[in-house]
Amino acid sequence: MPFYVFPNEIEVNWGLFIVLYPYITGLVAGAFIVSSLYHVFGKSELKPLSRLSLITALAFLFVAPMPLLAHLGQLFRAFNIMFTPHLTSAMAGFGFIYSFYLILCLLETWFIYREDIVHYASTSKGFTKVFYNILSLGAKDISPTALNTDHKVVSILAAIGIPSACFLHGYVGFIFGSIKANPWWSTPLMPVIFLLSAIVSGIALLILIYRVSSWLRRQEMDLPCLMSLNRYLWVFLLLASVLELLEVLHMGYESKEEWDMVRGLLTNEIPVTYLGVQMGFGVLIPLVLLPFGRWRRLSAGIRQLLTIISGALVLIGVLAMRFNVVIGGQLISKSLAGYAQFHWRLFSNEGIIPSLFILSLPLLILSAMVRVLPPWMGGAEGPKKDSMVTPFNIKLQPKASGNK
Amino acid sequence: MQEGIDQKSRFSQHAVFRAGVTVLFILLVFAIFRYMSVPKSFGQYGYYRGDNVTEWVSMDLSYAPPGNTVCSKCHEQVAQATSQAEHNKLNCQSCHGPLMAHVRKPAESHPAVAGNAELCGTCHRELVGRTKEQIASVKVGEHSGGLDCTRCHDPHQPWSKIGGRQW
Repeated sequence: MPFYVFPNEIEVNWGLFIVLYPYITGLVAGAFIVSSLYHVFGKSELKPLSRLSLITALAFLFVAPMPLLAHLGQLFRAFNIMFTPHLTSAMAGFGFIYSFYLILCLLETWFIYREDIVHYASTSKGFTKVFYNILSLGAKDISPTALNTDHKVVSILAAIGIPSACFLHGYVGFIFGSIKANPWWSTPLMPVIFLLSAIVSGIALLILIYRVSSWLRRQEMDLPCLMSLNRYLWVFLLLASVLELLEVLHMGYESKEEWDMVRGLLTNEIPVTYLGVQMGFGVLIPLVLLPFGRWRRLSAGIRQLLTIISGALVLIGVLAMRFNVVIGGQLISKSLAGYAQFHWRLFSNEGIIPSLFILSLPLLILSAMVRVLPPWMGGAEGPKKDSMVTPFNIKLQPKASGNK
Repeated sequence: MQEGIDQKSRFSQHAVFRAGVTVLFILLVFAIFRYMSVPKSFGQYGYYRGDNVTEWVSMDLSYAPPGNTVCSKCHEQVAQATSQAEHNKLNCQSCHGPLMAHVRKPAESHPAVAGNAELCGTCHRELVGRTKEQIASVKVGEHSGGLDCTRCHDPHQPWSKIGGRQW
């Protein structure tokens, strides 16, 4: 294989932050889809997660543009693309789809929590009362008629939210899939692959967040809910991995001129992250473990453990998938005669430490949000009194919030 | 706080109304920011700031007209020598820098040119994507040992000082 790369390809310009961007956006879309399974499709076994999944989506949504902005360097220039968008550039789409989706998620969260917010505002004192009063936007009518309207609005918003979530992440896939000069990116399947892996990562994330939050609250996990997540994770993982493999198989069978480069990329340049982490740890092992997690002959503890391990592996696998797409695509020179080199950095811009910081931010936001807006629905056990504690540790009168 | 009893609450207190007004407020803020941020002349000629064109036109020229005709009017001998050698496709200002001030007032402005490895290395430094067949490339540090390139090469006829063409 001759080695020749164009001079402007020596440096890999899109680093780890651009890997995080589709990853975090995918987690948002996936978590939102889980909440919609309950709010739109009435999957009642997911009720314990119906609120948690929504505010998880929201917490990650707040951080989704951050890696992009940090990569950009000049934060406020990000608005320019929204102020003067152009139909010939899909990049402007993100600003609008993101903003629309953020407003939609905020509205849905607000309507779901409105009854609780009004309740908190009425039972708390001082600063907390003012805070919840502002949060209620002055809409304090919680009569059955008003709540009924809220439920209808939530259903409509959730229904609009599903295509929006698909658009949000499909868009990210579209951006990569439409780069016709790059053989590893250019495929119309890319939006679908991104979307399915987004759903996969979102479900996996919720499994882990559910485990950790139950552990922190010293509560048992709701097994039917976990098994439902297990089933959805398996189905979507199967679909996502089949499409990913089909894409590579198709490229290999066609054996067009760029196939040699793609094969070299997968076998020589990124074999550890692609064959090992993405396909091995992220797909193969979870696909085997997840059905065992649903096997009724095993004890509940082992089934939980298998599901949680699979969730963790899938999360890492999807991160590796984003890495393989974003970085892998840039390693192939446009000359189709050589590979660029990716250098791992630790502290500097787009290094590992800043990336881990950005990855941990949504979790920090989430841990703050669950204190302001407790999402605990309690599957079989019902809401717990202790869970209704404001950030200021003022115990509130628990309200039977079994509804949406 | 009339919790739960407000069956006939005014429309302005309905949740949908409050949420709608909030969203409209956000859109209004966006519209105001957009109005303030987008330059007035944007889109005047195309998808860019129209004033940009007039701003460029009003800027003082730093480069003399392209092509070497202006330079060769006074520096005929050097221009003649250069036209015979490898650098004959280059514009004088590629190495000598912007010369409009010198063209306007030749006696007052004498731009100096640094014939060092940094300047010559712009084209002659070894790069992964640039082969020696395309352009004579060297590892500039090793090749010159820190000396200025012009000690051995005359930029106007690169091989003349060292006995003519080497290949």
